[in-house]
Amino acid sequence: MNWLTQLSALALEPWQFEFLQRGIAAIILVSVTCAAVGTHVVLRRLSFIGDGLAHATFGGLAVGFLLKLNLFASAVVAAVLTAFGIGTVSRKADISLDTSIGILFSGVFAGGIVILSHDRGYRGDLFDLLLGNVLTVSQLDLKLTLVTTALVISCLIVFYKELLFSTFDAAGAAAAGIPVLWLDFALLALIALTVTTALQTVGVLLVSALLVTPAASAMQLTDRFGVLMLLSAALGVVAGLAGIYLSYFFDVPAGAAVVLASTAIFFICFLASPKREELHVPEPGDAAAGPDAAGHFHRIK
Amino acid sequence: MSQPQTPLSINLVNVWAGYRRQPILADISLSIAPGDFVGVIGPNGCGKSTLLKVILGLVKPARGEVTVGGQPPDKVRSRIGYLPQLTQIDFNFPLTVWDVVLMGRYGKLGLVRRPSPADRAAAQAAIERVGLADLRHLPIGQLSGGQRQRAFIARAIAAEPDLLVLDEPITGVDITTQHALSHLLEEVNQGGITIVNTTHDLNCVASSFNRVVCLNNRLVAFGTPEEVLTRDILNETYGSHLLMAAGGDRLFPLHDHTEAGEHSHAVEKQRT
Repeated sequence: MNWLTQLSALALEPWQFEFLQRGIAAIILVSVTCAAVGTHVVLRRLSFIGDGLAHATFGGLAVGFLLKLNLFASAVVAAVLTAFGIGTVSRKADISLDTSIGILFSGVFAGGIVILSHDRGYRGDLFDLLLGNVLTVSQLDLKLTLVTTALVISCLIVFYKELLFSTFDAAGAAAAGIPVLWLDFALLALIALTVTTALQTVGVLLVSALLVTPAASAMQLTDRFGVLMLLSAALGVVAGLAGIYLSYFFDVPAGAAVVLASTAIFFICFLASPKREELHVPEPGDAAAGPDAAGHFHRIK
Repeated sequence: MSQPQTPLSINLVNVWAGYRRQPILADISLSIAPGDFVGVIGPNGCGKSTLLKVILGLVKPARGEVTVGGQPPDKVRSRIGYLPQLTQIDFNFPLTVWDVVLMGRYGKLGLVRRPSPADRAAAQAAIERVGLADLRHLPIGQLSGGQRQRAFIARAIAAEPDLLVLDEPITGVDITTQHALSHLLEEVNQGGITIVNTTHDLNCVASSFNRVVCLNNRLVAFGTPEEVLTRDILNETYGSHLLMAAGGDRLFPLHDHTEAGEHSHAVEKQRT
């Protein structure tokens, strides 16, 4: 039993530092939220939006810096406004959401660069936001993350039917009296909020993976939407935890480690997926492949 | 269906819809009686889908008035079942047949509320009606074309509607399935539900529907199949691309599912 106690001691090791506890808690909350919202993102074929909104926060951060505002609030406002802009432009200009994302996020990102180019000071905290840093998660950050998680998850539960219907079939949902336009914008706002919250821990460059990969992994394994959402959240947590241990024991950035773990999980799900099982064609004379007495065929492994 | 049905009427008065200078619907006036089984025909881009969306209240007319059962479409939404064009649907979506049919009840449910036993009973009745009861647990991605249409028709019926608005309910399936689906819709119509559906299948128009709308951005004709399916009206609707053969006292278009351009090519060939 000695190795077991050793293993559990090892497993508990990262948890003994308070600043790490906060980081771990934040990364797990963020993973769950991203993965849950991510099911709608993936099913709506909006995978690009995580990247787009994360970049858009940069514009908000720059303005926040310049005017000495609260950075989280500035980033959230920039992301939500960009998200609404994306929705509106796509609708009014009759272009695809993808193109609309491409136009707006780069515009806002470029705005951020222009604003910051006038200030030559060291931007250590900004660099943290590009790559994320679990070690700098403050008590306040954790509280904000907790609030975001609670808000996003409860919206996903309260509007479960409505979001499902409009993600699957917007025209059908609208005809049934579901406020599709409203929900589209609400979902964009939730994505914006989720992405901004995740920046602290995984950073601008990697946040999109948290949004997309767990949902895509779960899709390999299930044909039910409810199961997909739960499984995606669960895979998000697994990747979060795995990433933290990788980060702690191999001394690599936690955000990158979480994303790597998530990518690995995707390929495991991909290989394990029952959806890719080939049809077994019975050979002539292959007794085992024929129907049994009741006339049923059995799948042969 | 448990409740007695009171089919809805539809009234369009000088309806215009479209974008910029391109009217998709130009000055459409027509009056559909309760219990009618209406087929909407016309070439691609003639405004069939837009007409349906105007009836559903999803597209607001730029000018003119639409009423369904004497009221604005928004007010009677819970009494309308809709089948969107299935080309718009992602069939890799992780849903079973049952999930999709149950969605027909979502419009009637409030926020947070889960489907009640009554909702489940209505969905079950609908799924049995279209003959998919055995496949209810199958992912929609594994359905054939005809089964997909059936599943979505079941979703529309599950709302226990008084009006069904169907965008190409029998397109893209083989002839046997077309007949089976037409038959199903006839039954549903006879159960006391007004049906408006778009179609490319002109033979079906002649046999099932009691009213036909010929659309080419403007209303070319509206009447019974006998009145409407004449050489002049069809040529006007489709812009002279059709070949027709007389069968008994009626004209039957020699029709396939190719695009209008290929049609005219085929017609030219025949003529030379």
